[in-house]
Amino acid sequence: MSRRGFTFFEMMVTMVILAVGLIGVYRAFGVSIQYQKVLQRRLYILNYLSDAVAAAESELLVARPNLTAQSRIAVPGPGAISGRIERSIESFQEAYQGVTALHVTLDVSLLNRGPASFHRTSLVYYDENKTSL
Amino acid sequence: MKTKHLFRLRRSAFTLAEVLFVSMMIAVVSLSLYRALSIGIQVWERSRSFSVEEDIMIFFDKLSMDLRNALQFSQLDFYGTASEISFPTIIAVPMGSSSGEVLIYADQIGQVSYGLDARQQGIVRSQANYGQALEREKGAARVLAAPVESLRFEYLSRGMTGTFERQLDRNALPDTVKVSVYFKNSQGQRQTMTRQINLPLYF
Repeated sequence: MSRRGFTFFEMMVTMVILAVGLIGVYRAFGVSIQYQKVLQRRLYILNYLSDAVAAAESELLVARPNLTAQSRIAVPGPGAISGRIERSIESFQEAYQGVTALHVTLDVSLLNRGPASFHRTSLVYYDENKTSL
Repeated sequence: MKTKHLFRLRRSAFTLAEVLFVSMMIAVVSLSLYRALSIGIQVWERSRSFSVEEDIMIFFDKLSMDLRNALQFSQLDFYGTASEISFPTIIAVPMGSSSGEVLIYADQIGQVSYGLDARQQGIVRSQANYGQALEREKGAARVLAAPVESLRFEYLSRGMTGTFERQLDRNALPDTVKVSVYFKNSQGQRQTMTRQINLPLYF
C-alpha cells in the first residue's frame, strides 16, 4: 500500500473543481429565486389583466364607445410593477352583428427579463346602433 | 548528513504559506457552501409560501366559472353579503356505482357558497346538489386558499341610467361581482388581490 499523500497541486485542482461546482449550485439557487419572483409578478399581472378586461367590458357598455385607449398603470403587488395599458375595440365579424372584440394589452417590466406584453381579447355584445338599454 | 536531515524536514511539513493558502481556500469554500445552503432553504420556503397567491387565483377562476353559470331559479335563491355569497349554478356531481366508486361527473343544478372560514383562516367553497339545495342544506366545505385575513364581495348592477351602481338588494342576481382578498404574502407584507367578474346577462 502506498503511503504517499496528495500533492499540493492535486489538492489545489480538487479545490478549484469543488469551488466551480459550488458556484454552479449557488447560481442555480439564485436563478431559481429570481424566476420565482418573476412568476410571482406574472401572477399579479395576469390577475390585474383579468380584472382590467372585466372593467373594460363594463366601461364599454357604459361609456359607449368612448373607451379610454391608453393609460399608465401600477399593478398592485410586491415591488413596484408599473406599465401601460392599451384598450381597443373592433367589430368581430359581419355575420355577428353587435358582437365586438375588446382587446386589452398590458406592457410591463418583468424584473431583469425585460419588458413583457400580455394580451387578452374578450367578445362583448355591444350594438353601436343601440342608443339605450 | 546535515543536508539530508534538513531535506527530510522540508519534505514532511507544509510551509506557512501553504497552510495559510489552504486555510483561506477552506474558508472560501465553507462560505460558498453556507450561502448555497441558506439560499437553498430560502428557495424551499418561498416555494411553499408562494402557493397562497396561486390558490387565490384558483379561487378567482372557480368563482368566475360558477358565476358565469349562475342562473335565476325560483326554487333556489341568490344571497350575497360583504363576506359571503351563495347562488344557484351548474355543478358537477359525481355519479357512482353501488360500491361507491365514482364513474362519471354529471352536470346538474345546485347551489354553491363561498365565504371566509374564521377557524381555518381560509376561503371555503361548499356545493349542494339539487336535493340538498332544495332542503336548504350545504355540502361539505372545502378550503380553497389559506391563510387569508379577510374577504370582501361587492355587487353592482346597471341602474336606470345605464351606469353600474352598488346593488342593495341581497337576493337579486347582480350584473357584476367584485371580490377582494386580503392576505399576507411570503415576506409578511399585506397584499390585496382584486377581481371583477361579470355575469353574462349583459355581456
